[in-house]
Amino acid sequence: MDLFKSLSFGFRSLFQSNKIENDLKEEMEFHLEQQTQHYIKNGLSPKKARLAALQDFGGTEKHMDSCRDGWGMRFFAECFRNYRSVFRNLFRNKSFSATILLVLGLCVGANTSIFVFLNKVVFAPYPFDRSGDLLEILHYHDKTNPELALKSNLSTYAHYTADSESLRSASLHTVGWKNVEIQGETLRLKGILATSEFFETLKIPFVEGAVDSFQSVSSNSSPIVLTDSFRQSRFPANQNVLGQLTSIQGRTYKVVGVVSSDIQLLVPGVQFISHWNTDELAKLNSPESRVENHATLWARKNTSFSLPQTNIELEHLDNQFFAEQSESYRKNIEDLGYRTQAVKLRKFQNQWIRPKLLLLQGVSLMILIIGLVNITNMLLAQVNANKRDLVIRNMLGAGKKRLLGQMLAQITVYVAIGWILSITTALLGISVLKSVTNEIGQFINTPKLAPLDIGFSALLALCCGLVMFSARASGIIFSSNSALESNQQFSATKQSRITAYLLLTLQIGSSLTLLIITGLLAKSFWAAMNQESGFNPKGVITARIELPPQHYQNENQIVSLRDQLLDKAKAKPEFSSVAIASHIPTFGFPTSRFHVQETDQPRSQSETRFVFVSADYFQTMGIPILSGRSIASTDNAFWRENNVVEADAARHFQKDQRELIGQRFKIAPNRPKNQNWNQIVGVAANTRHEYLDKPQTMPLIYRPIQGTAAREFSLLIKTPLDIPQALRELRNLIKETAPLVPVFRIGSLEGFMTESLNARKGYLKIIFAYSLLALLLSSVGVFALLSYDVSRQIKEIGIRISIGASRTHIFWHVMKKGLSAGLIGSILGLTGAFLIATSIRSFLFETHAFDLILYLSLSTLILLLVTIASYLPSKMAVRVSPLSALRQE
Amino acid sequence: MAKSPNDLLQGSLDMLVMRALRDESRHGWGIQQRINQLAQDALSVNQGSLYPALIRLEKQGCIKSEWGTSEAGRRAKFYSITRKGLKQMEAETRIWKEFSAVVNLILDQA
Repeated sequence: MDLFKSLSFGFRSLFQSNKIENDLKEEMEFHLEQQTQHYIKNGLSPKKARLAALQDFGGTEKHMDSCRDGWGMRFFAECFRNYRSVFRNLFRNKSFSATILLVLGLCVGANTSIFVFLNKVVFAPYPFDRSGDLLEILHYHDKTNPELALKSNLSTYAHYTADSESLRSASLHTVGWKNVEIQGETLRLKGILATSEFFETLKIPFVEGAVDSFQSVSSNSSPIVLTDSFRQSRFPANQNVLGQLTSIQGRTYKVVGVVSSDIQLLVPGVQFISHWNTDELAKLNSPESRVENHATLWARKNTSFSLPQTNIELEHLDNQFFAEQSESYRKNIEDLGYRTQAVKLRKFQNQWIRPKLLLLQGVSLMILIIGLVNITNMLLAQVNANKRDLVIRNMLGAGKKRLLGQMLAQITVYVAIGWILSITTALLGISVLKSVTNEIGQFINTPKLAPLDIGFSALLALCCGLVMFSARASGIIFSSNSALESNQQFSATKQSRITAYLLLTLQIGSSLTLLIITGLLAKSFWAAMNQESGFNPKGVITARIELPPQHYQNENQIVSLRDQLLDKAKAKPEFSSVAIASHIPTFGFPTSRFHVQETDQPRSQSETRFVFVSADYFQTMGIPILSGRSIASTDNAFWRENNVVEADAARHFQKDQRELIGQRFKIAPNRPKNQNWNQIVGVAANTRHEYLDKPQTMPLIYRPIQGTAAREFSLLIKTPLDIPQALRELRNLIKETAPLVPVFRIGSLEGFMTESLNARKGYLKIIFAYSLLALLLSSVGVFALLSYDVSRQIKEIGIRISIGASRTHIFWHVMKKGLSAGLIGSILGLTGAFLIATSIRSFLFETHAFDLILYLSLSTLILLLVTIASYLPSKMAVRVSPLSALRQE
Repeated sequence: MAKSPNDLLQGSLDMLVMRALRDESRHGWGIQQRINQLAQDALSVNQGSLYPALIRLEKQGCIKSEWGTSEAGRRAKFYSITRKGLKQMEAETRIWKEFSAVVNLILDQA
């Protein structure tokens, strides 16, 4: 049938029903008149002729009805009637409808808000032209960890840019925090230092300015591009930012463009992209730098090349390069097992957050299941409560189809309103997630939904609708016609009760699973918070400064200022111990290769972390020296530096801890002309210097800051003063000594250590909120179902009591139902928790995935709640009076 | 119980309506008269059932309708066959003829 024609008939019948009816009547009347005239002409009297015509026609109303069916009027009229009745009932049963809509809106909305992040960060392709061609070039040359993907270097970048056919363009960059002077104010901003092809490679759209302008470097200034979100937060919309001059480390940069904030999908939180000075680059290029990993290399492959073809060509280029080097160089490369691999940028980037988001999505889906069970049970209860109403309607001529139509109308209204609510909840949820955990929040600037996110929420709402309709309609579908037609007990009652109890079991199981996962994460958090970090941050304050090159041009000025700061701080009696360090724990120490001096050739290479510290660092931080001595003020990094290593370094040096003193090694052995052998003079206790909640991967080497030109460093001060007062003192001290130097990352060390656990805390908060909601929903679910069951069986209970059943028997009859659902649910929940816990082992810190005590205690807790929720309805059953119960029907 | 030719008509009414409209447009009563005339009064169509059939055919796009004035000067709805209706009628007529020929063949041999 012509669909368009059919639809136009449908719409006409909907909006012009009166006209159509009148036309039909007129047409039929005309027919009857013509037939009457025909009979009159044949000799019948007008009255008899009219009667005969009516007889021939065969009942006008009957044919009108058939015509209405043909027009589809009946269908639309019925739909209209159904929806009108649904909306009437919606307002009549306000609390019932509001509960369903609230649960549906909250659960679907919570899922959608997590999906928004999952979609944006993991699934959706980057919103750049042909983003599938973007690659990251990785290298593998760590002998101790051959699977460790390392970043790239200038040598590789220069070589590939010049000779590769499979790569269309490539760009090298580093990411870091810098002091940026804008409009006379110094701001601490996160930026990318990138080579000129950066934007050409990524093809990220510019909001202001042109991509080409990033390549035009003048003698006075280098180009800098701001991200749109930073531009909006810093400058008024009507202000022209192009051409504005900024300064980073004494170098002048000119704003040449504003790039879409989508770049933050690649580098979260980035605020500007500055041009990498080519002179600096040239200094870094040497054959030795081929095995360094100081920068990230991104490339765009030619569309005609596949990824395997690209990798083959890159391997060929590497071999070509190594063939031109000395024999000892080649031997070293062979020894390291050097290889290069290009990987799809989308697959590689942000993968660290994927399991976390998937965990949150899984937890949200469990909440949806739990919420949906409550809704389904409410609808099943409504079916049973309206059983008599259904029978009466059936007796009045409403068939199964019509009853199902009415239910479908009810569910579609719930789903539609619930879905609209879920969109609002999702937008709210995104803001909440952003405020709770910056780790996720940094990927999205303004809460909005992409078409796929809206589609996802619609799909979830539709699935909920299907489940709700199945539950609501099961009473009709599974009942025979005769059962519907006779006013007998609905066979669906028993089925719906079984379904309700099965769903309840599932709900209890899901809640327990969620509770155990929360418990495991909470225990991990607790363990991370209360672990032995190896240092004592209590009473230690810190402030970080970066000396601007325009004011502190040479090493002498830098050293002089550092010494002044140390001397002035030490002179203050309220500061008991003072030190300077290039980095503070958990904020990332730099890494380098090192090798141990055993023979002329390095026996092994490995990665280490290092930090430059002043004397008294160990005393200020409360790190015990296990053997040897600490860094002294006479130690110098310029030549034959004396170092202190962590006890863990013994493993990496393949020595006994006692043999470490006097051991010589070389840091950054591949650097040209690096003849500086370091010597271990002391062994310090191990510290949690990388992360508080993850095992350490590399040892830490403490080097003397004296003799270095480190212009960015942290002051560390141990003080008995209260923190705000101590911070005021510190701020004044820095202002007096270096008035032009901005201070950042200032606060208590304890505060910064807690901050490093913020991401874990954020996830814990979300999952904790979910598990509380699950507990609440499950307890209400058990209570509501049992209460409803008791109220429905009052007559049966009355008969049982009247024929001699004891009240204890009745009590346990009801309790048994709740407890059996609780027990089976607990078994399901324990199994689910174990399966999920084993897959999230990487999130757990010093906590076993199968923590028996936690599993047992939380199972007991949920059984206790089920018992309480079952106790009240059981008591209600005991109080049933046989006489009033029997009188009830 | 013996069936009258009217029972066989069920389902073939659409084809008969289209045949009645092949030559010119007609109103409902005119269509019924034309069918009677073509059938030489051997078929008596239940007159009321004509109207659901007309709606059905119009919905399928086989016929179209418009209001006009009858011979007696009264407002009446006139139906005419569409190109699609003509094709449909020809196809259905061919099938009907083939089918009835086979049935006749079987019945004659019996």
